[in-house]
Amino acid sequence: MGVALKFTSGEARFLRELLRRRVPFMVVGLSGAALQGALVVTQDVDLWFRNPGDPRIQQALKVVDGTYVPIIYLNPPRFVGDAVDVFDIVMNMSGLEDFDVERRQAVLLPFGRYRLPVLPLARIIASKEAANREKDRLVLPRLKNALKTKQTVRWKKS
Amino acid sequence: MSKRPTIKLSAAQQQNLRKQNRRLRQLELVMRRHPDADRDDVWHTLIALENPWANLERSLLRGRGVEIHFR
Repeated sequence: MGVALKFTSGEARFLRELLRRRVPFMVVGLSGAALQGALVVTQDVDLWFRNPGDPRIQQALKVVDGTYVPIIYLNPPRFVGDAVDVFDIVMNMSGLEDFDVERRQAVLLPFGRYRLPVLPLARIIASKEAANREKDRLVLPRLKNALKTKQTVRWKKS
Repeated sequence: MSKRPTIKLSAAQQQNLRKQNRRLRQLELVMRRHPDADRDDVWHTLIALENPWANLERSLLRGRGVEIHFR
């Protein structure tokens, strides 16, 4: 069986179903940074939910034949299924405020008829600096270059 | 005196030139405000910002490609 390399229609459908149901969530991590112009490589799309147990998530999963697998021992909760394998559920964001505080600052990216909430690049950088893992330190210069570009271009337009 | 040859550009080519000029103006602006920024990163970020979803797709494409390579 072939492996989907790009963002697939099923993956987009899952995000649309979450947005349609008004599930409080945000795209965070390097995928969120890529959506804000950062030149990074990632294998997954991190989603930060206010409540990972929200029943509306189950409804959205059902539409795309996905399954929610709760925490098992040291393994975090996961989505399983072709349309949702790419998404990781983020339980903790280092160095950030509570979900609701961060959600108010989210960048809203046009996504069909919806607006996809994405953690602002400056806050993604703050979380990477706080996490301070080797892979975070490696990517920080690129994220900072993207932030400088984004802030300047936006400043120019306004 | 021979007439200087001219190249007639298509509408798409002219649009590309306008896009290039805009990107160059933005690049110089960023570099003036942030002389420490990496010029190449800024240039490609400007392009990525024009189509963020394509940038995410490229990011995943590269990430998944690496994953398959080492599988």
